Amino acid sequence: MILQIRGVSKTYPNGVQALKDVTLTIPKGMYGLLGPNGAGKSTLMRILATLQEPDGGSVQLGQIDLLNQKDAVRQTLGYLPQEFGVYPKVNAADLLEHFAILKGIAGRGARNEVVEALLRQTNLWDVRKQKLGGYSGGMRQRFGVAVALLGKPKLLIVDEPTAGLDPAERVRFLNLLSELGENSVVLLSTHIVEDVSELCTRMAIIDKGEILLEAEPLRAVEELHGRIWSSVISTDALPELEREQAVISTKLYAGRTVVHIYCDSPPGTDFESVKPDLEDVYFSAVSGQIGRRRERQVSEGRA
Amino acid sequence: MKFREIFRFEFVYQSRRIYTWLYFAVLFIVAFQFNRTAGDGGPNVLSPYGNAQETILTCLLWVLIAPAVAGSAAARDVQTRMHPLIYTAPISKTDYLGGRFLAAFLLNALILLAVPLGTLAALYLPGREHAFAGPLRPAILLSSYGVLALPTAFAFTAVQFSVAALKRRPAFSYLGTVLILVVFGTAAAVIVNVLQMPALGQLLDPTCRLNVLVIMEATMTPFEMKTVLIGLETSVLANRALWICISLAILAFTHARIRLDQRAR
Repeated sequence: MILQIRGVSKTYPNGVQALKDVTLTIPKGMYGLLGPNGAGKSTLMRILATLQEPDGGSVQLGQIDLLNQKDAVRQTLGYLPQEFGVYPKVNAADLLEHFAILKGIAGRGARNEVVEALLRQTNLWDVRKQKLGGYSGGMRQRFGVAVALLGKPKLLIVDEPTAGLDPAERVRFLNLLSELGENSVVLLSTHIVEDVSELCTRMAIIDKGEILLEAEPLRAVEELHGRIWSSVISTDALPELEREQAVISTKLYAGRTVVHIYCDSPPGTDFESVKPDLEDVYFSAVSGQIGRRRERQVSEGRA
Repeated sequence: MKFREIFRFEFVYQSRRIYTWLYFAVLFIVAFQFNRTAGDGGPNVLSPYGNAQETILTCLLWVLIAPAVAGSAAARDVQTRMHPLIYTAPISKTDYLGGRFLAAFLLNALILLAVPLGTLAALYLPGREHAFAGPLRPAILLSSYGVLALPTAFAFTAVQFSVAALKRRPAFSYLGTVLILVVFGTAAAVIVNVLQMPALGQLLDPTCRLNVLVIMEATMTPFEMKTVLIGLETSVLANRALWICISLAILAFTHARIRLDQRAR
C-alpha cells in the first residue's frame, strides 16, 4: 500500500497559506515529515486523517481516494493528533474498549485481548482503572497511542508524538511504531530530528507549506559529506560571518558560538570539516542551500 | 453495533454524573411538595387537571435547569478536545448523532419520571397532613407523563442538542432553550391574545402552558377538571404531534448541516 499525495494546497480563511502544492509518495514503512513549528505539518496530517478538506489536490491510499472515500479510509486509519483531550471521569480501560468497539473490533474476547495488549504495550496496564483526568501529560499521550494503534491500522498518522514523553517512553513508543511500520504506512510528523534519523527510511522536509526536500535520511546525510564546516567564534563576529558565508546553524557553547556553514570547498583555516548529520541536512534545506528552495534560487539566478 | 455502543456509552457516562441525579432530585421534591401541600381538593393526582398543571410547571422547571444533558451529549467531544480521536473512528454521522441524541432523550425522560414518582411518593409515603378520598387513576399519571412530559422532553432535547452540536459548545443548549421558550412562547401568546386565534396559539406553544394553564383554566368546569384526561384532549394531541414533527425536522436539519471534522482555523 502506498500513500500518494498530489498537489495538495490549503489556505485558511485568515489568508495563511498552510500548504502549497504538496506532492509526496509515501511507501510502506516509517516516513518522517520534518519541519519547524508552523510549517504546515499538522494541516497536512489533519487532511490525511480525514479531518480537514484541502483546497485542491488529490490523495490516494492504495486503491482508496482518501478525500472522497473517508469511511473507507477510517476503517484502516490510526491517528494520534498533536493535541487531544479525553473524558476526565472515565478510566483508560473503559474508554479504550469504547474505541475498540467503534473501530469495529467485535467479540468481547478478542476485544479484551486487544485492549489488554495495548494497555501493556503503552505501560498503562497498572493504571487502567484510574480516571483519565488524573493522568499526566505523558500518560495521556500513551493513551492516545493505544487508541491510534487499535485494529492494526494500515495508515498510521502520528503528529508530534514524542513531545510529551520522557526518554524511556519515547524509546518504547518509537519501537512500537517501528513494529507497525513493517506492514503499514506510518507517517511521523515531528520537529525533532532524532525521531526521524533513528527510525525513518524516508523523509521530507517541509517549511512554510512547501516540501523542500524528499529523500532517504542516510543518503541525504551522505550527500553533505565535505560540505559542512564548523568553527567556534565570538558572538560579535556572527553578523559578519553570515554576510560572507552560508551559515546554516548556530549553537551557543560555553559563551562562544559554534557555527555550521555550508560550503563546497574549504572556507578558510578557521574552519574544520565535520561529519554531517540529519540536523545539517535539515538546516541546509531550510536555509536554501540544498533542495527545492536552492533549485528555485538557481533557476531565478540568485545563487 | 456502533449505534448501540455510542448510545450505551453516553447513557452510562451521564447517568454516573452527579448533576443528572441532582435534576432528578429537584423535580422529585417539587412534585412531592406539589401534592403534599395541595389544599382542600386533595393531591393533584386525583384531578386530571391538577396533575396536568403540575406536570407542565415541573416540565418548565426541567427545561430551565437541565439543558446540560443534551448539550453535553452533543458537544462534549469538542469541549474536551477528544473529537479528533472520535471523528477519525469508522463511525457514521447517523450512528454518532443518533446514539448521542437517543441517550440524551432517554436520560431526560428518566429525569422527568421524577414527577410521577414524586407524586406517588407524596400519596403513599407516611406523613400526609390531609387524608384523601377516591381511587387513584393510573391513566391520569400515564397521560400526563406520556402526552405532556415526554413530547416536551423530545422537543427541547432536540433543540438543545441541535444548537449545541451546530455551535460545538455544550453551553449553547441553554441558548436553544431560551430561543424556543421566548420565540414560540411569545408568538403563541401574541396569537392568542392579540390576533385572537386561540387554536393556532395552542398549537405553537412548545410546553402546552398556554393551552392548559390559561385557556383550559378559564373554560373548563370544576367537574371537567376532575374527570377529563387533559392529555387526551384534541388540542393537546395536535400540539404534541406538531412539536414532534418540528423536532424531527430540526434533527434532520442538524444531521444535514453538521460535519464531523476539525473546523478550519
